[in-house]
Amino acid sequence: MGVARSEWTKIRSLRSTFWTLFVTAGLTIGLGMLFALGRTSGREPIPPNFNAAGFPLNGLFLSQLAIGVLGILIITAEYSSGMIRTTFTAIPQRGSLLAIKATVFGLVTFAVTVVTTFTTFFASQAILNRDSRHLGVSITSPHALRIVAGAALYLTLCGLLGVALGALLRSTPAAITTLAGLLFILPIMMNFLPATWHRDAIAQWLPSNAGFQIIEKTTQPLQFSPWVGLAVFAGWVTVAFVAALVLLRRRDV
Amino acid sequence: MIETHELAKRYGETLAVDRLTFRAAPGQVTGFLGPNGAGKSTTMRMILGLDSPTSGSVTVNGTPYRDHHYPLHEVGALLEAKAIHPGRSSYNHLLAVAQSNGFGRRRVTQVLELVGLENVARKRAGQYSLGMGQRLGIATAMLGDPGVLLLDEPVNGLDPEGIIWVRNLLRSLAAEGRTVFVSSHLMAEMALTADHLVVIGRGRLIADTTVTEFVARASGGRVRVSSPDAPRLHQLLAERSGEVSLIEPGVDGEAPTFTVSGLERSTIGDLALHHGIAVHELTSQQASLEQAFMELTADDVEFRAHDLSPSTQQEAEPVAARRKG
Repeated sequence: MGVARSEWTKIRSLRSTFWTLFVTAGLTIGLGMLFALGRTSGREPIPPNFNAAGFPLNGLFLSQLAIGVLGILIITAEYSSGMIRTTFTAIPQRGSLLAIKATVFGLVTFAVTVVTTFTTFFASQAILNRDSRHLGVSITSPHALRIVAGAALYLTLCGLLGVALGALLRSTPAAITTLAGLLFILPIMMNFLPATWHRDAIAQWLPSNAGFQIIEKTTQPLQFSPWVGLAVFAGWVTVAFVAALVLLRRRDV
Repeated sequence: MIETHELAKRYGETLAVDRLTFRAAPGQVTGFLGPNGAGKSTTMRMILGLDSPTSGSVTVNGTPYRDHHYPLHEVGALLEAKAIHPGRSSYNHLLAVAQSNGFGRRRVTQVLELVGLENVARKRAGQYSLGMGQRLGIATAMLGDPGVLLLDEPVNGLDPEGIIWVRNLLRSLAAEGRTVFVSSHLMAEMALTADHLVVIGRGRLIADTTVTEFVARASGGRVRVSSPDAPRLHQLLAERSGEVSLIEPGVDGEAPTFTVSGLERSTIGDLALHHGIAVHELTSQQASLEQAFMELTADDVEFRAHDLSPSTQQEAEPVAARRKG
């Protein structure tokens, strides 16, 4: 319990934590409102099966990086400042330390992102409902609650992926590059491979492709269903953590 | 109590620490001396379980460090000054470390007062001077009121007042029966602070002894003699199997001098009187800890500045020629 309290003190005592969480929330809510406004501009034809709850949450494409970077920094900043030696001297059980650190960070992140995604939902639905077509949906409509709560879970997993990559790579630039590569670059690169190479069957397994299914209303062919997709993403995060734990125990600091 | 047994650490081809066996006992300040690159910090990291030894073992109070639970109750360490997030205040830094081992806010306030940082405790650590960083590091080490303290170069960056403060603190902590293990490359500082010395060079143990013995061993009991009749006394002493140096001519009308080892001052004086030779000076040559250290580690310095004497230039030339080709 003391270790959890210590990690909470570390998280709350840095201004950068508040700024990064603010940016994550701001990007998600702001982009959500912008996307909703765009849909109500009147010129855009609305598809018949419009995903009113999930569409404004596409801001997650950007905010996932902000929260991932925060996850990275809570561990790599300890390496770059040398604080990690004090931390490991205080808690030589490195595995439990990483587990507690990730848990505290995950709880903080989920608390912030769940407020963020619900705010995004209500703000964007209000904008969509101003349109004469009343495009908005209520939170009790089918899939809405799953999409909004699932988006918060997705962001939390992005943050945790950051923690795992930070522990694995120990350097801020290396971890940020890897995070961006996994979440952004890899799905784009897949598009340059021919479809005959089972491209789409492989691409559905990529972390952000799989995870993003949680904000989809209907499942497309060669895509996972929402919860299976999120579970695949969680699997990636787990693999990164296992690798980090193994190396953390063995490596000198 | 810190004990190492045949402790070794290899990085690729380099043996950073080479079968080191020593112990730092309670109730005294053990100085851990060595030139830069001798393996002091590597050894300290192995003691604290941060680096794993290639072979050999090390225990703190009889247990390998990584088997300790909440070790700050027993061991406090300062490895590097300012090993703290620049955006965090020293109060919050100490609080986070304290909470991890179950200490509360009161203890944080106490150690801040102990090191004299109570007035800047809420300032962000990025604005701290090196000296303030050292004080914060010492505060961190003292959080658990531990029986064993390890400090890597604790006086680096401190002003004279701070240096005296650290010296007195370490002495009083040892007097309370704690094990105090301090690394330094500052020999003069160790002469004033340490009771016992563990000296290493290139990872190997050079000496494990008291400060007094260490100095005596290096000075070899040399006596400096000055006499207007130096050649005759020189010859007499050489016949008495004293080891004598060449005679140096005196400057500014002083008598010529030379040094003798292996003979007591009293023996030399009596001999001179017996032969009616006037003696102007007869002093024991006490090597400073600094000299003793330089002498004993002369072969074990990893990095040394070379002077560009003609011979070394000649050695360098073929390399330069090869590079051109």
